[in-house]
Amino acid sequence: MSGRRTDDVIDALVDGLTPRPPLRHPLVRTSLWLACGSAFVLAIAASVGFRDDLIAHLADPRGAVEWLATLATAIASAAAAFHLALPDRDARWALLPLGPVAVWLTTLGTGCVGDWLARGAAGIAVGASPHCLKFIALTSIPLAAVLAVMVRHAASARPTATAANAALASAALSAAGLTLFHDLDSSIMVLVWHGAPTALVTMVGLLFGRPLLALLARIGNTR
Amino acid sequence: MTARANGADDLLDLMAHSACRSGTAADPLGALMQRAQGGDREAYATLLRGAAQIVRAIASHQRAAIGDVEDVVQEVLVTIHGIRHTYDPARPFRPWLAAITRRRIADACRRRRRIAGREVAFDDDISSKVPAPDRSECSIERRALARAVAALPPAQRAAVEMLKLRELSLEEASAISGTSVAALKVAAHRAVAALRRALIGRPSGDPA
Repeated sequence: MSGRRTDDVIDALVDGLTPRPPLRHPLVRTSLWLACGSAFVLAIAASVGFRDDLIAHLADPRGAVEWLATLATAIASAAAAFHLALPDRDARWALLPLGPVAVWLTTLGTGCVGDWLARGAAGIAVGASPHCLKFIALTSIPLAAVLAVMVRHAASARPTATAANAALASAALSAAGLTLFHDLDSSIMVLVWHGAPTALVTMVGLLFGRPLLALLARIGNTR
Repeated sequence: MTARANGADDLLDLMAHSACRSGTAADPLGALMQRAQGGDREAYATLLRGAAQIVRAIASHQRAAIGDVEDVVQEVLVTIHGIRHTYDPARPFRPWLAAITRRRIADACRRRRRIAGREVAFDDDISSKVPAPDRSECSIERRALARAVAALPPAQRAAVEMLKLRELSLEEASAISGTSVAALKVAAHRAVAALRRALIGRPSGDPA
């Protein structure tokens, strides 16, 4: 009886076959998402107005490394997400964002030490900047939504790892954009108000990514 | 696969590290999949039958952990259908199939562990407490049920036959009938309500 059922399933699948060309290379799709996501974030930054000291901030080595590490985190985790979404790609792609994240945290950590040495307790005081949290969380949503649609087939591969990296990519890209128009005057502030929202968005992807991708896959009839 | 391979994991690892080059005579399944991506149904049928044999052989090594091997085979085939566009023709086919098979086997093992965790050992003494069914009553009830099912609208009847009588999963029934999973759920729910009304009478609160 099971053999007959499998034949029924095969017949139904063959009857339902439609042409479905293979996806583009994951690095091509990564570039596409990064290009569109960057344009979106830049457009927001331009509409708000770039910070007055942007050139000076990026000319400063610490500022430049910090910003580039944020960008590198977005790029690495997006590439990881697009690769992990494919069943036959190496699971070690999940390790790719660790390097940029380590650089980002190290830069912020040494920045905190530097601020403390320069200004004492005031240099590591955590002020309020809740709109940073709001911006990163809200901007991450459309970025992550587009990425999730692009990798919905991950529901049948590695949904949790894909979703976590997709969330991290979205949050990091948002944080990189935020730096262009919002000035936080110490590393501890960046660590708390950029780092924490990024970690929070990534946790949401980790916890809810599997069911969300499964839902998207069902809607798109991808199983 | 060599004679040394034993166990599902060994077979999956051998497939995953297969040195077959895609799109050549050395990777016939990859060539078939490439044609299937273009809509070639004959190639697709051959591919699915070949894949089913491979998956069946692998899953059979873990029959105790996964239960129904054929369920896993069918889930792998349905997954292949759903994500066939993720196969890159420039890469070997077997590692792609191995990865999907590994995930479906892991899902089946998890499901079986969950079910085993909820089940309670059947108490042999219970057979003395439950009266044996009256055979004549059973045949009357079966005929009444058959009549009630035959009286259902076509969509509801098909849902009952596939989901309740043939015990297909929602995904399998959707693949066979071409009806979405959501529509099947609605049809099955309405069918059960209609059968309940026909056999027992309208329960309170049951929608018309």
